[in-house]
Amino acid sequence: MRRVVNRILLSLVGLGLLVGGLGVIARSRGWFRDSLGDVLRNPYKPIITPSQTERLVDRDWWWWFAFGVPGVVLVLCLWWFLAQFRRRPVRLIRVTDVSEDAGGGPSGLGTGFGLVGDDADTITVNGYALADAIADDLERVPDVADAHARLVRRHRGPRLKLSVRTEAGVEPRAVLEAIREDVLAHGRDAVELERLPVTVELRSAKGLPKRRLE
Amino acid sequence: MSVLDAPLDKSSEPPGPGTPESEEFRKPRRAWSPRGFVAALTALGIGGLAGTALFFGVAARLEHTPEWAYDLLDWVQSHEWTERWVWIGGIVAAVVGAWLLLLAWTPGRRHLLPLRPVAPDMSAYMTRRTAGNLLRHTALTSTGVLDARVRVTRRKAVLRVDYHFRDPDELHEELEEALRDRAQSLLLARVPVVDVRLQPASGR
Repeated sequence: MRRVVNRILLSLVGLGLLVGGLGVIARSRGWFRDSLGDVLRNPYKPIITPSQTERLVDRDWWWWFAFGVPGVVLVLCLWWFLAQFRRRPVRLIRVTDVSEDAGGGPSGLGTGFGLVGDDADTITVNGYALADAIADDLERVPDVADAHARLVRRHRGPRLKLSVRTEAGVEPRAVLEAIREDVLAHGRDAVELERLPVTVELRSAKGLPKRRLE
Repeated sequence: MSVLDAPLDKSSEPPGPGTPESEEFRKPRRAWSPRGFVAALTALGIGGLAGTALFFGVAARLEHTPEWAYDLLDWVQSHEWTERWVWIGGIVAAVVGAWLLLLAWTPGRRHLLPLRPVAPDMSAYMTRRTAGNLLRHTALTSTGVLDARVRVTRRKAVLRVDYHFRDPDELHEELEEALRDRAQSLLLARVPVVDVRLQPASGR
């Protein structure tokens, strides 16, 4: 979403700057065709003449325009700027409690403590905790040297972002299949998620192979 | 909003176009950068301009217009369109605009190569450096190879291999076969063409 909005707005701004810049060059070099009239053709005029300013200020709509457009643009830009720093972490995942303490509130303390997840048969799982557990799980996969996991909130549920550093010379298919078989399956089962889309970034150490002595 | 209910009830949802049974899951796509930094910078620039304009308007209404606002108006009113700085400014604006358009329409994140996923809801990437390291690792297992420097692009991988005590033709053949197999097994969505260039370690 942010990606699409950013790219659309950047296209608009880029297009505006390109067309505006070319227009200024054309006006400055006198490239405009005759059909545009004398106003635009003569480059030996001040950029803004005092008479133009006076006529502009006399218009009824001028003050609306002069305050409205910059105001709207300013608010939009502020929103656009702040949107770049918005993070969407998964804070809580609700899981149905199937243990024998179900209905006893958190840790079986009984209900009525006013805590989050105090509903009768629900456990809440911290998204960061789940991501850390998944990363720990991932580091136990053979040939994985280091792993980071992050859960991001998306429309249809959480999305998992994995960054994996493997040992040198590893088979990528083996690592990806281990992620699918063990890590993702565990993570999904743990919080009863139907699906957990995942983005994996593989990196590997620069290492030497083991030489075979013949 | 921060609470996500585990969507157990959504099990009736259709499994989507890529059925998990087939080996073809999702078509691997290039990683598209969100362009957050450029967007933040552009927003700051345009917001700054709009804020300045608004400030001029308010200051003029309150009759506390700063001196430099008058200077700016004077400059604009006393300089002609033909002047050098006007069209240089136009060129700068056009170039910046073209650059922004380029950034907006290209994927970015060129260091990530898409991989063929092995699960239905997976998108996987590998850095170019990783692909290079893995290919180099394979090249180094051949006898007589001293070192290899790798450059990987989206289409090809160029390996410059230092070797000694080997027949170059034989080694070239061996390396090419091994590396082609390795490139196939890397799961890259677009298998790079391997280009092996042998350099004898001595006698340059």
